[in-house]
Amino acid sequence: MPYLRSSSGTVLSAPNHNEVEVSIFGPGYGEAIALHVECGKWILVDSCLEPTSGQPAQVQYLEQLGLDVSTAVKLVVATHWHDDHVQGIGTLVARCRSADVVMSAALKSEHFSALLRLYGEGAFPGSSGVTEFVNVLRLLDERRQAGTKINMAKLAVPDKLLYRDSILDHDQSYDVEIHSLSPSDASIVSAQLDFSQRIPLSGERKKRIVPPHTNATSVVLWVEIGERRLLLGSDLEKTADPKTGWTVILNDSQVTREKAFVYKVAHHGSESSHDPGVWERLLHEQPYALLSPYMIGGNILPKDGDIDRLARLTPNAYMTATPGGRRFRMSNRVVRDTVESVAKEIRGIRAGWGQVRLRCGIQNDALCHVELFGDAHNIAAS
Amino acid sequence: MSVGNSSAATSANLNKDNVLTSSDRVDIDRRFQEEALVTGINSSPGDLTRGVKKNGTTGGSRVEIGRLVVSPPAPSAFTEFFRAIQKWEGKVIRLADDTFTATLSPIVGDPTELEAEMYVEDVTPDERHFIEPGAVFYWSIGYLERPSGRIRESVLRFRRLPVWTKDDISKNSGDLSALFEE
Repeated sequence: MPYLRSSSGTVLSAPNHNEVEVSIFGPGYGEAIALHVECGKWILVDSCLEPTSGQPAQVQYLEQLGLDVSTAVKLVVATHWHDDHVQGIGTLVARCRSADVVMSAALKSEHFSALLRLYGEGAFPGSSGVTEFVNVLRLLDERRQAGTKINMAKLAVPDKLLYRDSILDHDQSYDVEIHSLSPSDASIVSAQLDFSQRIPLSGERKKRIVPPHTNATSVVLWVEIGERRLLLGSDLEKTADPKTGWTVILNDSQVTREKAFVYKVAHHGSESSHDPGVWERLLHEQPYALLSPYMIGGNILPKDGDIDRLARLTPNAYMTATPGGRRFRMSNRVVRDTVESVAKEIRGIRAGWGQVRLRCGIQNDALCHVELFGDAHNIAAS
Repeated sequence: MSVGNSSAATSANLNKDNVLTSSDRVDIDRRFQEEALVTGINSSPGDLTRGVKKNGTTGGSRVEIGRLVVSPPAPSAFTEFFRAIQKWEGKVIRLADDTFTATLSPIVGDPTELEAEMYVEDVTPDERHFIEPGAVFYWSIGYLERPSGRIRESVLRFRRLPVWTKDDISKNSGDLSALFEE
């Protein structure tokens, strides 16, 4: 694949068994993470589609590394119900047969179940991630009926241990633990109320469901691998309510006792997701900050001010593509002229495609190596 | 909505049942291919038109299947048809005062996924009440081919979905909680 030609020309190869890797993939629309935690075992967070193949980006990447995803992947996390985070996650779960599935606890709701049944059954194909969740739950149901061990979704709540392993590497042993830090109880209650209000009424005209604003129910992950700590911020935002958003984690979390050297920047670097407390209390100085852009509904993230802020906070901020998209220019002259005369504005949804890959040892003083693929770039250098 | 020389866009020729009321005959194969993509119909092309009334064609029965009409092909010498160069399925994601924003997924033509801000006034008045987040529409750009000449057209038509019934809602009220851990 052309996009997997790294800027340094490195040949693709799997990480060493005791090497940490975090890769973030992202077009202008979508975001996904692959995390190598130990000895060929991987954790996948969210899902997006690689544009040329239409396949989930992480599956394609791991297979290019020569790995068998059906055995290598141990955990698949769907952080929240937004299209840009769950595209292709049904395929991901189907392919990663030995992986536990994790979802936000907000989704265990009779109203969310009803929405899946109402909107996920054929009449509205591809709508708003509903189809993806239907596919995931259908797979789990099939596994349950077949008596397979992995047959239900784990629920993410604050400070919950989702994955644990102990590694003996020659004469050295170390632990791997992954905790969810969110969603908070108040966020769960609020989301479930929102779901109930989206159940259609008799006589109401059918339409595709628009997902609610569920960023507060995003699953933030805290990863410990040897001495390394990583914070994967999903789309969690800062809120005025101290019972939701980053404030809950900063005030209440018992597992974030040390500081992380990698931060998957929350919510595409938006101002609304930026809490100075996160940078002061949860992150090393000048951490590796990884993010992907977003653009839907005229909402482009990160904005110029967000990029400036990130660049001031760390010289090690990397983004998978340039935000803002590309102005649409159709090759067919008739279509191009017509579109330009009819639409007030039109542009490609995908702003490009890229992958940021960071690899390092499990000791805090081990060297880190960042590679950039496709449109990925260092924010400070651009 | 139309552009070019067309003052009577195809959308304006649709009556409230979404059936073309003019005597125009639509290119059967092209229409079939487009509609099959939208509706998932899997039949041989050439024997279906979409709600088109015939005029001056040979006889033959019309069999209505939902909103589709089955009829035999007509002699091409009498036809006037729309040839789509590009067609998208649009989903409204935001409505402002005089514009709406939608994602556009290609059905025919260039496969690029797009986002467009469109003018409400370009939607036929009969359909403006459909414009809300979640509403689905189709936007086609192409040529209306007529014996008298070719007209470039842009046609925007909202999908007329039925309403939810009590049955729809009651039969789908199951609980999936068994698939989540306690």
